[in-house]
Amino acid sequence: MHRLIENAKLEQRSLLEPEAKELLQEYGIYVPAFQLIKDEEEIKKLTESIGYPLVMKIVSPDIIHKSEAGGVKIGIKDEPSARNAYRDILSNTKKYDSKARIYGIITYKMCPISTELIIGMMMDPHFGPVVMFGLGGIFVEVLKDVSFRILPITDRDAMEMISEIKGYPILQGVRGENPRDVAAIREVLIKLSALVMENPEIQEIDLNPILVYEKGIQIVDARMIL
Amino acid sequence: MKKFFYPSSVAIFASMKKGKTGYEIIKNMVEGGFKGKIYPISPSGGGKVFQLEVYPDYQDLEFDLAIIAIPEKFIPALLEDLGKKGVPRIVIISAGFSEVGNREGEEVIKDIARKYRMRIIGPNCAGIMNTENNLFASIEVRALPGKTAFITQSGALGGAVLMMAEELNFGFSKFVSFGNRCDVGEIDLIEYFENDPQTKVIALYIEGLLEGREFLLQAGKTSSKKPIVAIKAGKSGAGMRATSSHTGSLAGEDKIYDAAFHQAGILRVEGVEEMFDLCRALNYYPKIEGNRIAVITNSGGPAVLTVDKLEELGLNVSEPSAMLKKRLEEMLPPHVSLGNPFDLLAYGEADNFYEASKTIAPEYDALIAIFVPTSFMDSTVIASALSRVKQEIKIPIFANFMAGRLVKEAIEALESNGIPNYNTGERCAKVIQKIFQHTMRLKNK
Repeated sequence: MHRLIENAKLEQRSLLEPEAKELLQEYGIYVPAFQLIKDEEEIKKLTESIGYPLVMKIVSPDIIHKSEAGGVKIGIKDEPSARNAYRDILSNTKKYDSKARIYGIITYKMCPISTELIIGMMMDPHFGPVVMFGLGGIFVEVLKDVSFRILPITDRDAMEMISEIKGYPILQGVRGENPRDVAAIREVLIKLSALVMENPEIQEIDLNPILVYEKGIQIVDARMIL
Repeated sequence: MKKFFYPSSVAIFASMKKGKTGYEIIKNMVEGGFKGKIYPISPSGGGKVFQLEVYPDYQDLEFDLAIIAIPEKFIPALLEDLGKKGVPRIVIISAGFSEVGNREGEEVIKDIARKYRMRIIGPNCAGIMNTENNLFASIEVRALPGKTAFITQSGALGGAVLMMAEELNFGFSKFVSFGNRCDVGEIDLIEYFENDPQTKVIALYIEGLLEGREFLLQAGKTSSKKPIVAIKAGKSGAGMRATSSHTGSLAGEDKIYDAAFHQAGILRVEGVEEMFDLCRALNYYPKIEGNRIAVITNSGGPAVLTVDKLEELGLNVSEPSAMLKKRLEEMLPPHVSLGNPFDLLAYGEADNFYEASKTIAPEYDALIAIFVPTSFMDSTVIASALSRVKQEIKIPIFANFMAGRLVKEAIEALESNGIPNYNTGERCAKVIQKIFQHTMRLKNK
């Protein structure tokens, strides 16, 4: 069993965001550089290690709806604002749930806006692990325009599940926009397949949102449930 | 599995009174002309059923398949006896097991089967059939001989399918209703039919799978040799369980089955009608190598509907090359459409159908021939012209002869020459698209 999973199991919780991202990195899935800070003084180093503008988010296994709890700040431009955000998040979440276990605050650089995707995994009672792919936002929320495959998947399965969603033309470039990096999406799907097959303790995964650019892809948020 | 379908003698344990299950099975076995021995067994014994002696006791009889339709409570004792006697294969038609909550009862028979290494089909099933040796161990309508093996979880649906098939003149190689699946299930059966020389197409009706991943593995292996067509009932969201992730909330059971079947190379169909449509075509044409489809017709309206459907399904109703157009122009009367659809208008007589179809075939991957006769026309001559074409070209021909009694005879002639006919061109289009996609999938595997 992977040490991160073993540790989380000992503490009877799912993987925390920084742990989920670390696991993704181990499987070669690219996530924006992040840092978990546990002390306000660590903010000083962020200019160099991450750079502004920043996102700051509470890390707690007990707070699922982080925005609702006041546990998320975005567009943080400099060190003084980062310090304020740090204190705000801690006091907000304390108010929201005084018993919540707090592991710190995750910081990462804001990603430029682009086409949003969602990739996920769930355990099907008959078929075992299943991967899902779709465009984010209204495409997934309203139109439920998503595709599925039973894991593990081949390269071709990955390509098929990307191209069979109705919104696929958006990735190919519509209204004068350039095409998105479909090869990078395919790579994430294939690597996630390996991650899931080698870590059967993971029951569900949400990589949401993912931002895909003309070149490259960023997994902005990651949840893994044990 | 083979022992189930090719027994040398069969014992039927059931009430032999007229109208009861045993009577109906014996009737099917005798009238169907089973080639082995048939032993009706009923504790009351005595008398005859369909000229066969009814035995009260079976200890001195030799048989290798037992069909059981006695009340549930007597079954365990009978199975013990059969086990000791060394009977290897059992079909239990009787109900009253897990389908009504009697899980322990089913466990008991499972244990007995394991102890004596017997294999069981059922319980709560409609029996089995094999049209090669006329084994009709079932109360359902006897299947006509054919090349499709039909596996069904539901006995009642199986019966209905057999009746519909009879009406369509559609035959089966084997029929199995596996009911509660206490032992033999869809995985064993698919594996067996993969290597059954009588079977060209495997059709499957399931409500739910027990071992999804094993099933996919087997189906994936089999489907690269023989097409599997499946109906999965229960498209509603039932069976969903609580999940905390976004992904879980979006993953409906039906979408997962769609994906799973696709990955395993199973052709999923919506219902029985589409299953027949596809199986009939697959019997003749297991492959369609490309997506260029020609439509040849003597009537504009049905051709337009067909072309619309073909295009909606992503198939290519491609135009003929300039050279081909020129050849057609020389060959056909003036005014006929030299583009696709090739509309022969009122000149759509046998010779023109024959010449035109033959000429266009090399530029296409499949051909749909639409024919709407006027009341004074003999459509059988068109059917025989197309049958001749079929012998001479390499691509599959599908027919859409319209309609009813006007073309009844012609359709029979088509089918007997291996050209599947459909009531509408749209149905031809759907079948073609499914076979084409399947062919592509096999190619890129």
